[in-house]
Amino acid sequence: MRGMLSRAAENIYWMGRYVERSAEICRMLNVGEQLTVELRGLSPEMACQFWRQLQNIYPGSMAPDIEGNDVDEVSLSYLWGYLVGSGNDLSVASSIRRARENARAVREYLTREVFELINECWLQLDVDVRSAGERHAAPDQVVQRVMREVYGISGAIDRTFIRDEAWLFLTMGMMFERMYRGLLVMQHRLPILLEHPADLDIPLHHARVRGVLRSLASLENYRRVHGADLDPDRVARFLLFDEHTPHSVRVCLGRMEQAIIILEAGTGMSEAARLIGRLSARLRYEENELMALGDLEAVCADLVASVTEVNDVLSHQYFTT
Amino acid sequence: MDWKAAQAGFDEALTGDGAPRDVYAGLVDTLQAFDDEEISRRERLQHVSLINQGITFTVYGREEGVERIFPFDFVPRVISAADWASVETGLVQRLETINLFLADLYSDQKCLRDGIIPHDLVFERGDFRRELIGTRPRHGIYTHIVGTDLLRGADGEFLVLEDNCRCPSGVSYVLENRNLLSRVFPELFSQYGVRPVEQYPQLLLETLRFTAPRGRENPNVTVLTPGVYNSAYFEHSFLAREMGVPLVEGRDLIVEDDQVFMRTTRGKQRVDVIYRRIDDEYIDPVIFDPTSMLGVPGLIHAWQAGNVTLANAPGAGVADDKAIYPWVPDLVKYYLDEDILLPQIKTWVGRRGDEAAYIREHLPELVVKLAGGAGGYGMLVGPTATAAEIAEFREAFDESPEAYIAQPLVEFSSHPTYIDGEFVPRRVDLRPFALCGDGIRVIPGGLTRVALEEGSYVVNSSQGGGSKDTWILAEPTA
Repeated sequence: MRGMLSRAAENIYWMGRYVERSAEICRMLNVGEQLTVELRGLSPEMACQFWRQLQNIYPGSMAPDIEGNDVDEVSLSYLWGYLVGSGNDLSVASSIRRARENARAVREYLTREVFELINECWLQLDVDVRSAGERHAAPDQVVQRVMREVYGISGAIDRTFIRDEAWLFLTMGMMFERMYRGLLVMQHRLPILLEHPADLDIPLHHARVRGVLRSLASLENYRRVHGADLDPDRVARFLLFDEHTPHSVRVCLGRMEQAIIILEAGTGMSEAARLIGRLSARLRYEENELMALGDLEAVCADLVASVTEVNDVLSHQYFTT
Repeated sequence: MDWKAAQAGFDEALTGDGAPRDVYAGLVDTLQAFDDEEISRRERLQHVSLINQGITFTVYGREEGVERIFPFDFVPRVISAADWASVETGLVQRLETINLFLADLYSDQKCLRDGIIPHDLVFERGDFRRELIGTRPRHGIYTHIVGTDLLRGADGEFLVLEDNCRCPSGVSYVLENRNLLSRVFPELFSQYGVRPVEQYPQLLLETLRFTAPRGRENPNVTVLTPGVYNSAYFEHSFLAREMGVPLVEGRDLIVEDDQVFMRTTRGKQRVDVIYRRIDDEYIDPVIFDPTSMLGVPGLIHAWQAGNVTLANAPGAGVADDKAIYPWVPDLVKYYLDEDILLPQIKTWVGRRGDEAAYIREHLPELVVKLAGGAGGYGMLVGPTATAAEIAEFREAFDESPEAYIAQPLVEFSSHPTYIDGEFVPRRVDLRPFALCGDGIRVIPGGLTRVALEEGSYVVNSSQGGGSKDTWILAEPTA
């Protein structure tokens, strides 16, 4: 590796984060919509709670100012708010716009296919943003379309991008975002599902566990490994420690570790590499110890703090030379 | 479908009776086979293609930094091999002269001492950087990349309107227009041998490498941009991408011990050649505008020390100043002992006594401007001015005739352009691009800009202009 412009590396890392983030938010909105349909007649409070938890999963986002448990009103407001909401920096539209800004700034590192797909995605979404007040388009259709487009972008990245340093930073950005957001989902949505109160409504409970898995693109993968038994403890282990499913924290960290090893080949181990390696080892070897603590929320919070440090160290090490 | 010939000036494609000129016969034939619906479909396709590819420029003004596409007209401009040969030879002669002039101006100044060009004329030009006298860039090349604006006069002859020796823009559109046309209207090429333009980035990289400081075996080349909000950012990014070199901003570069480095993920890396797309004024706050945030402190010293090549060299802008323009034929004679090949627009110079008298007498027929002015200030367009305006201007002129130059209003050529379902004449200019490195190479083509408004002379992209693909035909093979 020859080294690339620090500013370009930063732009491309963030492009990866924004592309990944837009897909994650889309998936979350999609799951929210389906859960709303499922829970509307059974527990509107639970459906509303799902939407309101988005503020915890996207800290700093501007959530709609809406009270009460009118599930249709709440779901529609959150759906639009996190899709194209003006002033919401953690919306799909904002993420795609920023991905496109970053892509424009490093276009010389991108293939034509990658840039054009990001650009097209933004141009179409921009129309939706401008007409959001009128709400012509059905939000679920916009979400579905953007999600397909983002998968297209990821595919183009995979199929056309040279595996150079830029790709390593892009991969690290994408993996970081996936892992970080996944941890926040687990931290805020899973612990309550680990409780087993006497009056547990099993169908509702399963709907929520499925929601967690689906929002992290892991439901089918989980079933292939563990079958239909939606045991929350097993779900937590799967999402944290599974070595094959692409959204597990272990896999994401592993891919970041591989990237940084290639990036730093022959230069000695940096602070960022050491941090990622240590964390990756924890996920590989300390599954039982971590789960034995019996406090998933604290474990996730601790991991969130650790991966946040990874982001900071990476930035300091590579982007501010 | 109707084709309307130009009523005034030279029509590039049609003769006075509306018949196509020889080189356009095949093209007109092919286009006649399209119906309105098919043309509309393809126009939509090309529009979407430009938008999706992000082939845009940024318009400053009311809405800060709005990205726009540069409208593209699919009717290509065709230039015969013979016409092009004379343009090419003329440009080579002109650029050779300009580089000799700049090298002289920033060293011995023989042309001033020999009275070829007035001393004070040069020294009062803001673009003449006297602090750079004595610096000789590698191979004596000051202007490496030049875009010369040409018009075709009433008789179809190419005339030089002006040179752009600083940061000429537009070459990316030359390449993208060709790419677009060949994808959307491939049939148009069927009857023509069109010389390719796609080699430009490779030739540009070769030129830049050739001018690298001595002893740099495998020089690091970069493109320096003011940033994503610059109107020509697409082009900066395009050229960096096509050459496979980093696109840097001022903040990416650092000067230490008169060496230039870029900040990379592996620490500092030396930079040998900078194709800079930032004007002189902003390139180094230590030497020029101290408030510039776009430049690199110490860059000019590094260049003067011979440790980095700047293309184009600082100070090169003086050669394309409109006050210098009238002297170019004399400079060609002086440096090359040749007559100028590519004619210029006739220019009367107020500082020459007899010409001042001519200007004064012919104000109603001339375009008169301050030699050091810009943006239309201190300018009279005689043919459209009122008697009172002319009288008022005459007073100003009489006070300091030496400050003015005058030219006839050029009725420049028109070209069929597809607008609202018709092929109608619209005025066009041409900016061919040349590279000065190991020899001078003119790219066979250029940016044809077209004034899309009926009757308009304004071809600028920011004011309603568009562009066309420009075809230079290959010599017919036996």
